[in-house]
Amino acid sequence: MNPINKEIQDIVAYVPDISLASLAPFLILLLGGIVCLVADAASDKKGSRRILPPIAGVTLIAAIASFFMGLVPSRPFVEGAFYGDFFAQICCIVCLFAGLLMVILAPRLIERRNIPSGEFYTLIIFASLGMCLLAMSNELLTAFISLEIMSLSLYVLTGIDRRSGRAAEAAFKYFILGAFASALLVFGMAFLYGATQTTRLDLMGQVLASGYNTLITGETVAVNPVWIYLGFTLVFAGLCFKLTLAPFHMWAPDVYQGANTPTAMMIATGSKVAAFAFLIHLVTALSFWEPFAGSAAFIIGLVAIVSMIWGNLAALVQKDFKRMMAYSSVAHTGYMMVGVLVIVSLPALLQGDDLATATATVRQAIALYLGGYTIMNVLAFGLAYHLDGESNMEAYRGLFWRNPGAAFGMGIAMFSLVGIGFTPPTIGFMGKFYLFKEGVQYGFTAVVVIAVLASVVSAFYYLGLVTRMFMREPETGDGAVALCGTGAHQCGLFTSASFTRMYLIGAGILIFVLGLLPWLFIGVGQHLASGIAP
Amino acid sequence: MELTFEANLLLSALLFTIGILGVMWKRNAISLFMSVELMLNAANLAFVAFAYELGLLSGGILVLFIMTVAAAEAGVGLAIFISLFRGKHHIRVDEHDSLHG
Repeated sequence: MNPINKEIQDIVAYVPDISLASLAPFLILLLGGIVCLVADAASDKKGSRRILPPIAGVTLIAAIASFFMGLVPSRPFVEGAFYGDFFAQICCIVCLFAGLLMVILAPRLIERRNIPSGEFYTLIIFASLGMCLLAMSNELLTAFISLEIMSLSLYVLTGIDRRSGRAAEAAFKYFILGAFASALLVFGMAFLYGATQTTRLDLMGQVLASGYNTLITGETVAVNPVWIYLGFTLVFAGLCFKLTLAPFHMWAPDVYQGANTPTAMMIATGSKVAAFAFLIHLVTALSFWEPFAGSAAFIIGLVAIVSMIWGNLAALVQKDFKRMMAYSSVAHTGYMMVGVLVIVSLPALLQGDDLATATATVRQAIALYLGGYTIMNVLAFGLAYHLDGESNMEAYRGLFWRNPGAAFGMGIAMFSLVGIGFTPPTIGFMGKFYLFKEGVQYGFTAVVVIAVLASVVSAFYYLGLVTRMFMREPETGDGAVALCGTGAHQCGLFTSASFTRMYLIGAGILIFVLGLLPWLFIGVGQHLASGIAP
Repeated sequence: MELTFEANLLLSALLFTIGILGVMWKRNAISLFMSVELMLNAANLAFVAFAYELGLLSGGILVLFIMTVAAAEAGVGLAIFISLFRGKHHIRVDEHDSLHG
């Protein structure tokens, strides 16, 4: 019989394993997004500005809660399309928190720039949905579609302020390079699929571990190394765009600068965390193939080192706060790649239970770094937005004398972003410490040394901003940033200013709490994954 | 002449290369976007070629999804081009350069 006909018959006879409860977070987000759209259509402009923030906020909180209720299993589910291990779940929660904070910042932006609120909140929810799906996806097709759900929402959010020419330009640059990156990604996926005959990452790992392909057709075929290398390189290049890794980071400064600040925050945190989670899952699957470790470690290490150096050097000369943060995030993704390097090289060094334990430890370190990176960035971007100002760095001169609280918060974020030497009790330090410790333990001392030196360079521009805020006399004039919370920002139930304050203070405290007690963060993740073991 | 698996793969690689060159050289936003679509279709062709060669169904199903995503991408992309066009009345990418540090 023709194999394709046989497969169709098998599919017709097959009952798929789809439990709706395990998809609860996604369904909640989807429903919340649709409710936002309908509520916007059913009410007038003022009404929708009042009711949509609570709806969006409740949706995102409910989605976070559904993770804590243990509905998502830590094994492949929905026919292997998703895999909710602790790392994926913690990344999902981080992304949802970023979405929630964006909802908190949104009312003021919508009021001020006269942005259509229905679209804005719906797109925040759909972007968060895409991020969650991407962080959990265990399959090439799911990964591609969720990446596109996330990206398309973010393209529109970037350009949603239609009166701003810079926003349109930023959206255009983001869109063209993002679409180019997805095309690279999907072409690479075609080769990975061709080489391993499967789109599921866990099965891909099994096929590659043996080096022979007997999975579906029954015949034993050797895996074609050229296709794996080609496929991985293209997928990695595509993900590098999303992760703003040098040399594919050119869009980031322009997009962060042109986009509205809440969206820039989401692009810098959520979209990166989600893409990083998928990269980790992908390299974990591919690392089971023996020849992969050496050559991939070379590519990944090179990209990491170039990102650290280039990002930090370029950030030194920036005059614009958001551009500086863009280059700083390039450098931070470079540091994170140390974890990827370790994961790639582990299967060659360890076997069996040792391998599982070591992989879990590295993933914990990466999760801690991702969480810390997100907290520091939401604090920095949130404050920059809260301060009403242009993002020009000169505007921060003498901020401490005008607004001590905001200057203090920004100082905490900057010290934590430096993350080495004299900032031990912050999450930025702890994240780097655990990650670099893993790097040294598995023989990537050279990369770690470069990373530490690059962090020293980064201290110049982070602390340059702090110096501007604290040391100098205030400048009176046009450049000065207005005071926190000046003017009444009345946006209905969610009084934007008070919620924003709560979020900023909470993030500032969290930097220290998690810096002193990093196991809290890891503990939550492990609880999530272990509570519902099959 | 029969269209073999290798020929299909070669054609898709060729289309992909043309797409990349287009993204690098073209300076009109619409041409840029057409080049990106060409790359996506090259990927589709590769998926179908692999699926047919290996006797699998999944590759063909993937193509349907990729085509849908490409259509959604076109919808968003053209809207962004229009909002860009409103500002300066052209979409030559070189001359949209207001963002710099």
